[in-house]
Amino acid sequence: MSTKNMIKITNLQKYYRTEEVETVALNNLNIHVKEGEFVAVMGPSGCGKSTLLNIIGLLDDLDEGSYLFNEIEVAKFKERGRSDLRKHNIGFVFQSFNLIDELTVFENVELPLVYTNVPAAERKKRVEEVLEKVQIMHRRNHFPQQLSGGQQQRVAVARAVVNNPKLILADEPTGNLDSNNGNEVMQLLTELNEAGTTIVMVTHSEHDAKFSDRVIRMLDGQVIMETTSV
Amino acid sequence: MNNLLLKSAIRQLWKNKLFSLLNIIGLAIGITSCWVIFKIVNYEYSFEAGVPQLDRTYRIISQFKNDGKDNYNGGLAKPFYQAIRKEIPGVELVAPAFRNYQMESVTINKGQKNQKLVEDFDEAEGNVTETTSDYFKLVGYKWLAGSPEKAFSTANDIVLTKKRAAIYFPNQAAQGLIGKTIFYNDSIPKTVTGIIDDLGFNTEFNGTEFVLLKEEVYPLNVWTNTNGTDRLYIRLKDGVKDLPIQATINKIGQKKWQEFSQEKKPKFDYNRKVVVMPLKDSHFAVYIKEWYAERTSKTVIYGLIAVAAFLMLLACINYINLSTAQIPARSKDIGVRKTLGSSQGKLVSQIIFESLLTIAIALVCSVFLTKLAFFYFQEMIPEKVKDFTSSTTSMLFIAVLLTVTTLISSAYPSWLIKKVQPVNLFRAGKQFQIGKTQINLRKTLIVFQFFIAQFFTVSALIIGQQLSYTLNKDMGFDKNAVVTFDLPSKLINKFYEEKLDQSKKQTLLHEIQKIKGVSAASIGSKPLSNNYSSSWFHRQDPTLKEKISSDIFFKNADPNYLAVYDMKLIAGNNLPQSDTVNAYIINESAVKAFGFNSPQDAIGKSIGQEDSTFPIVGVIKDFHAQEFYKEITPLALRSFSRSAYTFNMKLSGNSKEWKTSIEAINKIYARFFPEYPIEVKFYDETIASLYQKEQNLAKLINVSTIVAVLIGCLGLFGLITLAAFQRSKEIGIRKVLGASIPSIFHLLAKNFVQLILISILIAAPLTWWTCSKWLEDFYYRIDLTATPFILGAGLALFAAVLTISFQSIKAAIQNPVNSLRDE
Repeated sequence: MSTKNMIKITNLQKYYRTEEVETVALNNLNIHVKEGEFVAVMGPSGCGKSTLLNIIGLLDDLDEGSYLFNEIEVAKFKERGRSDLRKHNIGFVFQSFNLIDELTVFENVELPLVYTNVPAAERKKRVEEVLEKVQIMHRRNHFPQQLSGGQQQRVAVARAVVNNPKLILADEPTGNLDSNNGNEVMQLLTELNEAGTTIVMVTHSEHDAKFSDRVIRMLDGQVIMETTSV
Repeated sequence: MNNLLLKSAIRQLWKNKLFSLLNIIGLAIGITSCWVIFKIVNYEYSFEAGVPQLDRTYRIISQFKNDGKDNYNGGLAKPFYQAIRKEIPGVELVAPAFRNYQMESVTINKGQKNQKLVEDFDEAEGNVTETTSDYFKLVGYKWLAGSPEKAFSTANDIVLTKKRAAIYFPNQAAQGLIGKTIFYNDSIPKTVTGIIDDLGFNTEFNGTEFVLLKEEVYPLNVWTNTNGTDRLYIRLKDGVKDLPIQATINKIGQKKWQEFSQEKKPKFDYNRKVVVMPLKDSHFAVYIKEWYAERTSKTVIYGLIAVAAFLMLLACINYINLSTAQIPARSKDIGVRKTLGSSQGKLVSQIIFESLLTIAIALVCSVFLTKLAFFYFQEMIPEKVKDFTSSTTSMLFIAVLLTVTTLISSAYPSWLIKKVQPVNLFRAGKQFQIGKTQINLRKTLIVFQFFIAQFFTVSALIIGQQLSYTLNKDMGFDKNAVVTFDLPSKLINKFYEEKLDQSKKQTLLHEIQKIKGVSAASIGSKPLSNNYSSSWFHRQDPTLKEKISSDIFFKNADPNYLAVYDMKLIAGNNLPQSDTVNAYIINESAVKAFGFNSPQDAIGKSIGQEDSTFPIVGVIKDFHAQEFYKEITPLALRSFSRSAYTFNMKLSGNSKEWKTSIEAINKIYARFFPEYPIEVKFYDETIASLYQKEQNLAKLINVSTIVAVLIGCLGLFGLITLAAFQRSKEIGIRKVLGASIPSIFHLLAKNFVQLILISILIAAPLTWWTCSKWLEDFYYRIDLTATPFILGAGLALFAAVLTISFQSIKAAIQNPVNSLRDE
């Protein structure tokens, strides 16, 4: 693990406003994640975990504060800049897999490479490599509905890593899986982390959190505790 | 990428099979209407397209003012062409085209073994035009042999079109025909000096053989003779604009009229104006009656374009409605793609590509629909239209249609997907929500669709009512079981020229009267027809303080006429048999017009012009002598067999026996004039054909109605399917809480039925106004009542409820466990 901060968030404020009510989702939050670190974020529902993940993943704006990604201030980035940064640096794994039903396993995994304009031959090579890695190569021409939940999440992990991102954001990656499949996915993430990928994972599962280097616990939009695994 | 784009699009369409199918059907119908109408418009605007310098070429016609109304004649008094050539600056070519009717036959190879006689002269196949060499330059003929400069060096020269030359000299090369001699009317020699190619474009220049127009000094009275077949064309010099050419020509005309008035002191008034009309407008000048020229009204063309545009718009609205309705369901895909780094452009291109693919499939389907449309509308669409459009134009049209339709259809859905936020992906179960504005837009679109459908439906009902009224109303005479035939014009000419004796007609009539299945037969004008003659008549009565006059129409008749058409005499007696006019039977309108107190009062009184008046021997009830557009006017039946050439027969017995009677009529006729075939027609069919224009309109409106309602229902079906899908959870909860099936049906159907009601209300005033305007053209017309509106509204609601029912009931009877399970 490097000593360099990949993510440094300072004094982050995030509000959700409706016509009548303003809710503080994240309140004066400070967080940092080092390059190569595996961080788990835990807390009860509605504590702001997913909002934090959205902001780290540049899917959502922050209202106040600073966000340094690899020492570059990205808080004020426009959509185009965020999209660029996202597709070259960040991979996503969702609880509900979010695979595109109309695309095959191969095509789903290929998609990030298409958006980064990787040539077709190179794409084929890299997709096949990563499908081998997550052991789903034999289902490459199947559609997501034809796969089990565990297999779908393996495809989602493959899609998240195919572009060799520096950071993987995982939102309850085992939430929809049984324990066997859950363990397989956690194993995969651990292997990726060991290979140098930084991982931020939101989870409710203490078991999953044990795979991480550090656990950040949140309540009501604030960090209340940080524990480092031994 | 493109491969993936195609694959995604195909799978997306396949996934939503039902919506894709609805979209494809709607778009295919829209495209077919556009395609068929484009072909018609393309054809109609192609007339004279091959004439060189078309923008500088004009046709000069005559306009007459009678009773405050403008009447047009396509011809111009002959001497004008000389005056224009001499006196009007800025004119490059003056091309008179005067039809010569004296030439009736052509003898080829005269005196030789292979001598041949051609008598086949009519407007379409062969006609002789007197003209000058300017004509060939103006029309832009291609010369296959000879040249315009040398073609008319003597009065004996003749130029033939390639097609006509092939009739006289089959299988001979054009060059070899130069110098050959043909004889008109067996005695007038003409030497071929030029062969011109047939015109390769649609045109009114239908001359087939051309002779030199003799230059002569015309007497003054010829300046007042306007013959529709004396046509005149001019081409202006390049750069000539804003010259008061029309005004100058009119000044010449007025000057000549003044000279004529001073010399001849005529008793009539002469109100002629010369109109210089761009040649490209000639095809659309429906006010010029030239039976041999094909003309089309621009109003009809614009109407057709509007119909095509509306149907295409309806189909696009359907597409927009159905595809935006699917966006919530697609928001996950869009969000994932955005998260993975897809740019807005790529997402939009995905939507556009899906539209393009849908429209392309619809385009393929429309190829078959187009064939069907051409078959169904074959009576309305000119035969040549089908294969007229060139492949380049077709490709261009398809390209434009594809581009415009794709852009219209995909613009709004594309804008909408930009608003999908990937952030929702992390919030389980949260879908992209369609905002109020978008729902309102969809509702507006549905209202618009049904508004158009309603307009068409009610219009179709009203047009249908008027047509049925026109064809079934009491005409004042009995048209059933009446057959007629007209003697061919060549045979009539023989009677006129006294080569045949009038008595032969009467003998034929007597023979026909003997046929068992013919209860009465008469020679006389058809009671209702487009052809008529009229005169200004006075009532001959020295006791009157003021002269009573009226315009009166004539129908030729004989003593059997009333029996054939079952016309009732309300006073006096029948006409006596006579070759020339010696008495009149007048109608009730004439009784009023000439100021008689009663029908009885008219009997024995005389009407006519100064030097020829005849007594009124009978009065009949009014009957319709012209179409329902026109009011019944004063009319007189007269016995004038010399100018009557239509045979009218009342058949007896049942309809099965009629065929035998008609065969007998044909047989007897053939005995008399075997070389001039006739066609015996049922008179009610002839009358129906007078309303061809209205019947075509009714057909067009009926099909448009079906298409508009169908497209509207497709859209509605799509939306109700989505509404049922999107509200499945709500329906499930309501059912668990005790809602009944009818209440669920009501819940889903209510909103849509409200929309249909709104569209019915909006459509009503516009339909009322448009149909009132249309009906105003008929003097005898139906009253516009609420019935078609109520019926139309009922039909729209029925179609809508039927469309909604299937999906609503399906949703209502669904087991709530299914919709709530995934929560």
